Amino acid sequence: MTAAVRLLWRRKAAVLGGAILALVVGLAVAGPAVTRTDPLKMNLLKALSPPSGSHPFGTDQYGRDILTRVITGARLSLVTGLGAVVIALAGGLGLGLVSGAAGGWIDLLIMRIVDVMMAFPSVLLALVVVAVLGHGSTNVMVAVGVSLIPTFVRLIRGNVLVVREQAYIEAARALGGRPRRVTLQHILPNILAPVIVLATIAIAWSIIIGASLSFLGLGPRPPIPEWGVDLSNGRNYLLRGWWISAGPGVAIMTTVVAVNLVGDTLRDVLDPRLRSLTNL
Amino acid sequence: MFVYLQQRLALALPVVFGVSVVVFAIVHLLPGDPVLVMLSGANATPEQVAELRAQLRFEDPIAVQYARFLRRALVGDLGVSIFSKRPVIEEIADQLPSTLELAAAAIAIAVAVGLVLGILAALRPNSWLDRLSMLVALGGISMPSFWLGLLLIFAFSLELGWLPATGQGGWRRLILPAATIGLGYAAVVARLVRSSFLEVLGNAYIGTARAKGLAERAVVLKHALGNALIPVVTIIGVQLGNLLAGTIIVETVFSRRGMGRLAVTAVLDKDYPLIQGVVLVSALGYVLVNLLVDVSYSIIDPRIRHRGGAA
Repeated sequence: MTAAVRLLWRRKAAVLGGAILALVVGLAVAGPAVTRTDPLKMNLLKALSPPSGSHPFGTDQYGRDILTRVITGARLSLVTGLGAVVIALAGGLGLGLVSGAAGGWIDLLIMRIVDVMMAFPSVLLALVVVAVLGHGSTNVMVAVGVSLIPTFVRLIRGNVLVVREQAYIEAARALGGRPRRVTLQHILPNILAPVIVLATIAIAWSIIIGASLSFLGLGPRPPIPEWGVDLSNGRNYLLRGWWISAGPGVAIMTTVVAVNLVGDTLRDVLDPRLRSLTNL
Repeated sequence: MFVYLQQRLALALPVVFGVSVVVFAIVHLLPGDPVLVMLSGANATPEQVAELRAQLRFEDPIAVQYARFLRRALVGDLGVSIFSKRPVIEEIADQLPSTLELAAAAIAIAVAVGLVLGILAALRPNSWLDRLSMLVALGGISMPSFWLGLLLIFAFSLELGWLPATGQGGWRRLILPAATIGLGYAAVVARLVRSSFLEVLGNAYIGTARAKGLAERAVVLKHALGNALIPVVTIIGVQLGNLLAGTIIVETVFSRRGMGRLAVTAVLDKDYPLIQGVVLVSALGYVLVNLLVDVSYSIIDPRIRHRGGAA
């Protein structure tokens, strides 16, 4: 793993991506300590002010400071992205390991369920989950997570099928290791590389799908600061206040580019076979 | 060929069955009294509640309800929209052509732009052109469609005034939404064309073509392009689902009619019969398109068919 870290460090793109991510995460965590102003505070006298010294990203139609809202909104967007990947990872590891290791009718059943989930394009599947659970940021996170589970199951099961044929797994079994122990202690560590790569790239997808659902009005409600919500808020002010949408738009894009830069390099270093992943 | 088609159909049937179960389950998974939840957005009178309850007959055993749902769906009866009171199938029939038009235009843009960028990058690997096109591709992959859509509206409608920003009808209103979806996929296509082209260019038969004195243009267009396109066809098939998802967002950004906008409005209004109908038709359409892509793939590359036939 340290070799991987060293390799990552040597690639400029990954370092740049990592630095941007560190900055975004740092700002999100520090939040109020950096911004000083209240993201919800209205000031109609300053409504729709263009970017200036006192408001570097401008203000929206209620005079709220956009920079403050972008920094505060980073929390919700990052939590949605990370949380969704944790859900997808948990579901994917559970189903994928069982499916690949157990084989037989269990494998057949799980894979048919995954086939059905795959028949719903991710945003549509997320829309179905929101339709059942209702609106809100937590439900959006669950929806995005569920919609990514099939991709994780397929990747994990495929890798388990390859690894379980290796001689050292045969040896672990011959030494009397129980199936559960063999799966968790011997198979799992050997499939982690591609899983880490997918999880990283999936953070980028989650941030985009999560922000999309918020943009459509299915996520947190205004005035809660969130990138998708704020971008949607600026739609009707494109002519008089393009900066309302520009702040959150640039924030989403920069974060996703950074995640992709790190993810692409991780993939090249850990598992170059996954090149097709970025094309999913 | 016929055998292959049969095999693919046999694989698609369980998926279609599963999709119908999921769509049927949407209403049954709702927390609390589904009838009250379904009418919660509509300010319903007690009479309407009673009417819907009688119509849905939730007290029947679940298997009976599913059989009834399936029987009706098979003849195109997907229920009645709670809001418009129109049959769901009519609502969908009104919106579907607009989405198909948008999807077709988006694919055309994605393939045209992606091919050019990808080939240019592959012909001069590691040149500034290669780096630039891959940089554009990274931007395309990382750009959420709603953000790109707003940028295009801002630039081409509001600032330059070249194209209308919203609405329906005519190719001028189609360009911006189609470009919003298409450019994102052009990025994916470009990355793939580049790697697939580089791989093909390394093959011995390309060396042979060059050795027999063919002009580079003929080598690229006649010998390399066809072989490099095979994975591109698959990825377009795989991406069609995401393209459909893209229409959900882009139709909202550009206030265009279509299935995507219908789906979002239905979810926002909690119009469950409409949600079920739109989801069912979209998912089945996706399954059908994937089937067609697989079959066309096997026509382009006969190896697949034979491998499939042997298995």
